[in-house]
Amino acid sequence: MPSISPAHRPARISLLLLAAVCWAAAWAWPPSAAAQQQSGELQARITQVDTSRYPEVTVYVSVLDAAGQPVSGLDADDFQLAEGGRPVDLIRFVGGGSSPVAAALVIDRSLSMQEAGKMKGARQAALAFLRQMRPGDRSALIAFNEDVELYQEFTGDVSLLEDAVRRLRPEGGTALYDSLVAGVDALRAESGRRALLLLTDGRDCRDDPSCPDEYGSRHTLDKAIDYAVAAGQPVYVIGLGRPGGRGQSGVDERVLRRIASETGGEYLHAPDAEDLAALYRGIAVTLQQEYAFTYRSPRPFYDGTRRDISVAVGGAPAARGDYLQQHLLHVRSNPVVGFILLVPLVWALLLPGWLRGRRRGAGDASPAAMPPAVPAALAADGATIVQAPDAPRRVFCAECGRPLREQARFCSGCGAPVSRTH
Amino acid sequence: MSKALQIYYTAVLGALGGLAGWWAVGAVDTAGWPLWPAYLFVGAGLGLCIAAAVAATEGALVKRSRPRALLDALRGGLAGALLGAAGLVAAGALFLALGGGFAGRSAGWMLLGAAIGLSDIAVSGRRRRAVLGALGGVAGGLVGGLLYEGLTLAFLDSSDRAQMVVGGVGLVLVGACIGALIPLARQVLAAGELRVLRGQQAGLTREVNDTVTIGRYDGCDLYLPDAGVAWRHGLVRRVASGFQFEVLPGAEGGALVGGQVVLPGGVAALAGGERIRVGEAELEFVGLRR
Repeated sequence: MPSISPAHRPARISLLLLAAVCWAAAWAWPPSAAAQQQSGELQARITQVDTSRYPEVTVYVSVLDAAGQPVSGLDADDFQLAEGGRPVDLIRFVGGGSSPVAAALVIDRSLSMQEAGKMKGARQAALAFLRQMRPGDRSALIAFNEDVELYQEFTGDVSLLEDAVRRLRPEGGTALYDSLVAGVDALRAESGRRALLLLTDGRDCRDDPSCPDEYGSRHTLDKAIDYAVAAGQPVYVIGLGRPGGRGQSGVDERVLRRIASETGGEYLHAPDAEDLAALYRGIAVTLQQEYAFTYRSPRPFYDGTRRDISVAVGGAPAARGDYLQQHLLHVRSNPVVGFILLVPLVWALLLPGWLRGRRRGAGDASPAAMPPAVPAALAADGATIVQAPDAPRRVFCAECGRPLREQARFCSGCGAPVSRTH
Repeated sequence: MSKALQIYYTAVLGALGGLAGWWAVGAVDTAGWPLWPAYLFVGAGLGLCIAAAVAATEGALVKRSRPRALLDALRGGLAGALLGAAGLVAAGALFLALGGGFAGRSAGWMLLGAAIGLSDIAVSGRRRRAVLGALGGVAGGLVGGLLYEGLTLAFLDSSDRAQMVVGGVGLVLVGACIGALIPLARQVLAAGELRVLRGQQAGLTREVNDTVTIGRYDGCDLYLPDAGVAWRHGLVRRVASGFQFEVLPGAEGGALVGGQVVLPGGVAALAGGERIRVGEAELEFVGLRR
């Protein structure tokens, strides 16, 4: 067995030290983004597309690791962004943790929320979310039973929001769909990343046979979803408590999942009120760690077409999203093009007259030029004076209907001889 | 003027209205406007131009009366502007609700077409005629919208200038389709027809839905500028038992209906196929359905 000579010992020790340093470094710092990308562990998701400044488009992307935790620290070069298959040039890039968030907290305060400490859990969850707010973030609080009420409008003042949360008291019915519409409306004026968090423990009284109609929403589920989709507003829907089946009390997961999936949001379930705070805190962190990309559309036209967007991080499959350019119609004109389009239309307008003129020139007599026909029976009898029974004494030519002067022997219109009858 | 020629002329004038709308509205840059004010403006402009052109067709090409054409264009255009503005806002909302695409675009144009067809109420004052016009406008909007969407998709990757031309051609097509299908719907869904067999308007066909006024006055539904025809001579009216021809009490002249004299204030029932002699013009009534 060969032995290590004393001359080689320092080199061997140096190599061992280097390996130990590398191992310590690898243990102390998480794997680099590039390393994670190569291993395909990252998963990107387009959470919102903001077209309010079209043709500038802002895309919000959340990146999660294999454990489902938000990943920060990536830079613009780590992403490949394309619209309609064309790579886009970025105007702005805001890295994870730097993009401000406007969140509407929509909370169910129906009577059922007083059971099992749900209202208390909802308050604590809202407070946990608000305490995560950073400078620049804004939130609003909307609570609903059969009515939807704005408890606190959008503000960055956490103490105002906390006061509003503490005022929440459970009573009344559940107008879930109306609250969704109100949340969309509240967020409409906000710019940047807009998040709508909708918490409920039950179902809309509109769809609950055990609940009086007046305790439910005015909007249907379909209309409320359409409203959110038209506004481009994804919804985080949080179901609290045990799921209920058809006709039973409890969370109507079928409806809540539908709201989340059709608006491009996410459905989250908290079996107990104690789970809520962690869930809200997790949503806040995920929102705050999103990346924002702003680019000018490679097709900056107002043509009402749908545009596909893809965002790829490293070797992972690209996240896909889309937006609808909202103009059914956008009109731009040019006089030269106008004249070019006008020429064939004027030609089309004159064409029938020109063809008629050619036919006439070829000897085709116009039927309008022919003398009027005289009904055979009247031609034999000649013109007759007739008198309306209860009209003042007036006489008319029965041949052409023209009024006749008294004592006239011929009609001045058609020349027919006049015979008198009474 | 034959029915086909009336449809042809209304289509061409509708296309001219679409072009005029594109030209006038497109001269204002609305790119930076909020969506809904832009829809109001564009809808009013397009409604004004297309409805005015469609409304003027009869005065200009059937009655050949410039004042009548201008008056009808003014009434139709104003109604078209109001209804077009409301129609395009509703169309835009429907477009967004349906998520755009062929369905959204066509549904949106159908609403605008309905608004333009309905604007006939300001010209004719006839509710049933306006409703039939609205149905035609819906069909025209559908066809025109599909053509417009097809053009948009065909030239999706074209240059900025090509997009502008596509917009112009698209609106010409929409105007032509709405213009053609408004009179077509009135003709296809008509309860009866009056055909002018002899006289200066020989060859003209006028559909009968509720009431058709007849006279030398160019505001009458059936304008007969022949000798012996009174200013407001008579009318064909739809009644419970079918149709009847009335000579207006103040008319200076009677009429012959199926060989029977009808005096001012008199009425004759129409069963279909009757010849009606009014002055030097001769008409035939054709009952299509009851």
